[in-house]
Amino acid sequence: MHPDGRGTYWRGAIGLWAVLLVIWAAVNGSLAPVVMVAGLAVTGAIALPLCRTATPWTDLRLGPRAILGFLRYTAIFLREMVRANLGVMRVVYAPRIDIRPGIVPTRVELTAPMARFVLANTVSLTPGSLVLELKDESLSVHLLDRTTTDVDINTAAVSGAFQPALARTFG
Amino acid sequence: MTELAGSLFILLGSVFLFSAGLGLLRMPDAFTRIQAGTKATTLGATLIMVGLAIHHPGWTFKLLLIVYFVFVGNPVSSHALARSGHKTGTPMWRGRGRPETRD
Repeated sequence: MHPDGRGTYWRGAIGLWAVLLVIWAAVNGSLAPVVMVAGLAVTGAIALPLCRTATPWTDLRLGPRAILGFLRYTAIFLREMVRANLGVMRVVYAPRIDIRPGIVPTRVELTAPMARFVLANTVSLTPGSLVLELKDESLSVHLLDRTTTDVDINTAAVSGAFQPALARTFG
Repeated sequence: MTELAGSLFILLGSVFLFSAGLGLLRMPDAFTRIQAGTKATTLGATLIMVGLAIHHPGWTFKLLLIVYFVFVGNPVSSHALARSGHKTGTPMWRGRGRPETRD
């Protein structure tokens, strides 16, 4: 049983089960009853034993607040990703590569493992930043253009927009 | 008309993929190369999948799944490369005319 009790176990198991079932349906490209019954059995057989030990899937929240938080996160993420690509292209096609790379520490307030995982991945895909290490409350980031070593300014620039939205989506 | 729209998406995606390749050649050190390779390939692959979905609407769900795996796998692998590079003391470029250092 999950170390945090039966309720936590089932929340995580059903969350993972649902995610795997969606993947199953997508791979089969069909919602036919036969396919879905087979899918329920196969994905259940994967999800139920896997969630017996502690799992990040228990962090999933399902509710209007969480869904709104996730939509907000998605919108910010897509905008930042386009900006990231245009930024990289500007550097790559410049006649002289004129950047000042550097490594800076930033702060992370999220504690849920899933939220931290998503945040680290997000930061790597947004303009000019690449995650080197995430440990406790500190996120080391490699910046293409380091203008300051101030922790507060860099935290706001790198992950300030995402942290509140992710805190609402994952516990 | 839909064929043209799909092909335009694929063309745009390949422009981003080309920029990522050029970035790998032109960037000065390991970390900046990883940066170029991570961002531009993610958007490039996504745009190509969108273009393919316009060409073959029946593939949409499978293509979405590929996009999802690219979105998760790409940053995770570049994080693993960057972290091990940092831990083993790979020299870092600091800007034109400044000495490379291990940070």
